[in-house]
Amino acid sequence: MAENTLNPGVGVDVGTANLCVCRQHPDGTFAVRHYRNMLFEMEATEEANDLLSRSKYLYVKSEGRYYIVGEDALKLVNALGHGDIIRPMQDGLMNPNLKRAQHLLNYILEAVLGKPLAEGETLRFSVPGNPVDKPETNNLFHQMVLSEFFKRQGYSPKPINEALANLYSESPTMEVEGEPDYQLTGYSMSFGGGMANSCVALRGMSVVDFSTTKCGDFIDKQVSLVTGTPVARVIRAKERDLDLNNVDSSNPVMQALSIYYDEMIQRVVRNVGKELVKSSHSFDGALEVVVCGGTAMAPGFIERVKRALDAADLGFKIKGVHLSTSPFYSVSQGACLAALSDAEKGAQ
Amino acid sequence: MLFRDGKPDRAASPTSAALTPEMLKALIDGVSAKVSENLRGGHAGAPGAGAGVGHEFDSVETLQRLAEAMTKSAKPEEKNFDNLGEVKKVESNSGKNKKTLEMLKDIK
Repeated sequence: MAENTLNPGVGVDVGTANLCVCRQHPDGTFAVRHYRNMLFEMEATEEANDLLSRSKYLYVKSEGRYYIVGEDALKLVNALGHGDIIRPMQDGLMNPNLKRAQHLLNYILEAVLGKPLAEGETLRFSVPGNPVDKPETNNLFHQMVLSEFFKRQGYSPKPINEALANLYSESPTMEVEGEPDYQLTGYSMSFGGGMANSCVALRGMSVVDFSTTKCGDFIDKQVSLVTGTPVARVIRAKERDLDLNNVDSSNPVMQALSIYYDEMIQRVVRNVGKELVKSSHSFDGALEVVVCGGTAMAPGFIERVKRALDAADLGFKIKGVHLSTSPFYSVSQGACLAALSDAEKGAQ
Repeated sequence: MLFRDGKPDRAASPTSAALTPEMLKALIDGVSAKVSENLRGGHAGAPGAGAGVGHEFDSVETLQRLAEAMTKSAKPEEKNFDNLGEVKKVESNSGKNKKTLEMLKDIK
């Protein structure tokens, strides 16, 4: 990024499937850097040395093993026709099944993020809400590890809930009869690779936030299992061909994806009503719903969310449902706005 | 910030008003409840295969020390990249964003 033309304050979307780093130009536009958060692991054999010396694949070698990074990992798995993509993160948190997951994540993150514009530049990084369907897990340790990493890079980091960041980016409102609209008030949903995050906020403050697991990666694996298609091919097919308005009935991968997507949306919608009841909050007005995330970008996804919300007992009225303006980057953009605000507060 | 059932009750919380002793007590109780809840739950994401899930800690400080130890800078044996990803310019609704920034000023 051309550092002299950027405002200090950086937003980082630390996603299971993708990493996005966002800064703002003085004219208000954003500069976003994105990279796939994935790896392909290879033993450091002579064959692997040969392959890597003859190719342009990006890799890191750690503890005697090669890890091909990002898009190159996906390309290589598809070219080899076997092997699995692995991720430094799983279900929105550091992958507990991968040795040195935090170091591998840090190598990638460091290269996407770069150095701070000035020592102590404010940074907001996304964290998932605690999962309601996996109560034995919480995000505290994950948050601490990331915070330590960013501090070591010279930043002043603070976490921000992923769905709240999307809400900051989209600025939804609540309509109440006879009153001016409530700003930064609405329901934000973020469907990522690991988790689906939800946040209901009132005037920019989270009232309820939570996540549910079994999102993008889980669906890819399940579809792979039921159709006998390698995961990497499911990912490619999903990103290129999935149209939830017009599901190809002759294609088992598309059929299975469609069914799992419905189940994922239902799970989120079922839980938001429950969580609001638990929190004893209620809303007098109609809330705008904003949806983001790579998983939400398939054509027809928003229509399915609308149908699910219409049929559910939510405890609030819906003003409208829309996909975020830049669904892939909005978490990093909202995090960037929060970091800019932190910088302004620090300067005062 | 006020707390209800150990969870932050942001809707009922003043953003800038001075805290009364009652509010301060509610705050401390709320934070303690939240911390114990977090620690009781253990955590995912500790280093190494299968490690960490279900671990319990007596204090946040222990967890913090562990997080620091786990992020001590490690150098890879080899790495053939320094920068990853391409920068993309993304348009924004700057009017809306300015309004958001104004509101965020009042949020701690």
